[in-house]
Amino acid sequence: MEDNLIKDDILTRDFEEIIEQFSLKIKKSLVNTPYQEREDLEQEIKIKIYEKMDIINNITAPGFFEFINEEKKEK
Amino acid sequence: MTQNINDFFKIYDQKMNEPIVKQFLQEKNNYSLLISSIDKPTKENKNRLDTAFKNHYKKVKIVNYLSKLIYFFAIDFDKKISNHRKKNVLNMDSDTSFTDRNKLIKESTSNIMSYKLEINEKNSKIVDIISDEEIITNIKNLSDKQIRILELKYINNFSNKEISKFLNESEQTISYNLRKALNKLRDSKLHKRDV
Repeated sequence: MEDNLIKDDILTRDFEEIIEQFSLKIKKSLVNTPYQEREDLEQEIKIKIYEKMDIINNITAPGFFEFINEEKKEK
Repeated sequence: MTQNINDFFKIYDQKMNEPIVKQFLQEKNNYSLLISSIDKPTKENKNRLDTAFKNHYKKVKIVNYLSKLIYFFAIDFDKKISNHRKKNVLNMDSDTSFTDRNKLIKESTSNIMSYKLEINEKNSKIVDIISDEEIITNIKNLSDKQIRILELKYINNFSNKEISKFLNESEQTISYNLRKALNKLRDSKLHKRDV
């Protein structure tokens, strides 16, 4: 899955790109659903992802040096 | 030159062995960014390394977040469906006397297969459901038994075991015929493309 995410410089993600990159993952998740309901589930998952696009785009990440200089967090 | 790099790895040994850093450095570009920031620790080099790492880290976070979201959402959805189906079992279309109704309820709820048969109220056939024209023509190549198996499996959601009980055949026969039927539907499409 990580190999698909090649676009390095994009900081805000496009909803359509995300759906495309996760399309296989979504298809796999339909396996336990009865056939009549699969399209509905697929749609609902896409809606859910759309609702969470804000969260996705606001994910923060540390820079390299910030990361390696971090104190080890207690888990 | 390499001494600097070795020292660097030594000093930050613990963090450098974190999976996310290792994965980040597996890519050539990222690794060379790291080397150049160690050899020539200019602000520009460091920034490039930082940006690359941030992007990598974000991607990992997004993949983890969305994977879990999809996984748990699908599970919840499936639970809702199954609960909904259990609560809304039968449609009684015609008036029946009180005793007849009890009898009907007893008969159908004791048998999960007739419950599944009831769900498909319209009793659709395979040809009604499929819209792809090529597949429809290929359906004529299937035996009656295979068509019935497809209907039971995909319209009524029978498991292979249930189909075998319902049609009074062995499970092996059912899975064999199912596989054959699906292959027939698939194969013809390929042959047409080759021609």
